[in-house]
Amino acid sequence: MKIKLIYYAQVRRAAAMESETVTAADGIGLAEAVRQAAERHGEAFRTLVLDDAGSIRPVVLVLLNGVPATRGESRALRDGDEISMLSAVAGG
Amino acid sequence: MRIYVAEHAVDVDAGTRLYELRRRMHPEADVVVRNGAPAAADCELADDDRVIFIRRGEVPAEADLEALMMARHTPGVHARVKRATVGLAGAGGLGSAVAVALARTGVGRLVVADFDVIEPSNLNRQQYFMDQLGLLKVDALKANLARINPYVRVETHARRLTPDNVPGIFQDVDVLVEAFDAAAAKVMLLESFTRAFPDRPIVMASGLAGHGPCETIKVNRMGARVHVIGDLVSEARPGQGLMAPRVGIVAHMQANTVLRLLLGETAE
Repeated sequence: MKIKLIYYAQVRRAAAMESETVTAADGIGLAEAVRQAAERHGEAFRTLVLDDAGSIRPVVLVLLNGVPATRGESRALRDGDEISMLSAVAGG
Repeated sequence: MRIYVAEHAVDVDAGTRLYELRRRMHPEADVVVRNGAPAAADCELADDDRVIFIRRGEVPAEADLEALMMARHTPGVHARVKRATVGLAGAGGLGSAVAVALARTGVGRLVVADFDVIEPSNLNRQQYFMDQLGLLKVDALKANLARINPYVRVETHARRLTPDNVPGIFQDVDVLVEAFDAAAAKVMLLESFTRAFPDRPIVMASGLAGHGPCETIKVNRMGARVHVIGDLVSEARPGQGLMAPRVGIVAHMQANTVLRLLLGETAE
C-alpha cells in the first residue's frame, strides 16, 4: 500500500524534503511508519522525532489524515493514509 | 432629524444643540463625543450625527456598552461572538494577550486555565501590571478583563492542565487556544482535547521567540481543526528570549483565527 508522509519545519529540514509517498507493508502501524522514515532519513531526523527507545518524542505533533494521532495510535495504516509531522518548539 | 446617541437612534427637532441634548439626556456627563471626536464647544446638531455622553468613572449599562464598543466592529460580528465560549490553555504571554483581544471583541465567555503566578520577568510581554506581582495569573487576568469589558464572563482554573482534566475544564468551549510555553505540553493538549472533542478546533502556537522577521509568522493549517501559528522554528531558549512584539503578533493572529472560526470562515 502507499502512504504519504508530510513534514513541517525542522522535520522537513532533517528529511530534506517536504513530503514523500512510500510503499508500506500491509498492517503497518503509524509508529512503525515513522521509525522507517527515520531509517531512511538518518540520524538528524531520528533524534528529532524518536526518543532513545524508538518511540515518537512527546514534542512531535503527529496527524493522521489531518486528525491528531495519540501517542498510542494502534490502528493499522490503510492505503492512501497521510501522516503529518511537526516538532513543536517551546515558547508562549 | 435623526441622530444616534450611544448608537441608539433618536429623533430630535432641527436646530437642537449639543449641550441642550446633554442637559436633556445625560446632565451628569463630563465629556461629550460627537462623530468620533471630543466636542470642545456647543454646536448645532446635524442629521446622522453620532453622539456619546460620558461621565468619568461610570460604566455604561450592558446594552449601551455593547453598542458603543462594537460601533467599530464589522456589522454582525458581535452578535455571533457573544454567544461563543473560548478556552485558553495558559494565561502567559500568548494567553493573556489573546484574552484581552477577545474581550475587546466581545466574546461571550472565556475559560482560562493556568497554575502560575505573576513574576517580574513576565512583564516584558504578558498583559499584567507591576501591582499584580505575586498574584495568580488567572485572578489578575480576570480582574484586568473586567476593566476592559465587564460583560465578558470569565471562568478561571488555577491549576496545571493534564490529560485527565483537560476534557472537563474545556467541555463547553467552541474553540480552544493553546497558549503554553513547554513544547511537550502543547502536544499533550492537542492530543487530550481532540481525543475528547474531535469536532472542535484548536488554535496552537509554535515558533515565536526572538525578534526575527514578522512575515515568517504564518497560520499553518495542519488539519481541518488544527491551526498552528508561528514560524514553527524560533524556539525559546537561552540566547533567544520571548519578547512582547513577536509574542503579540502570534497572540493576535491566534485571536483573529479564533474570530474567523467563530464566524464560520476558513481560518487562514
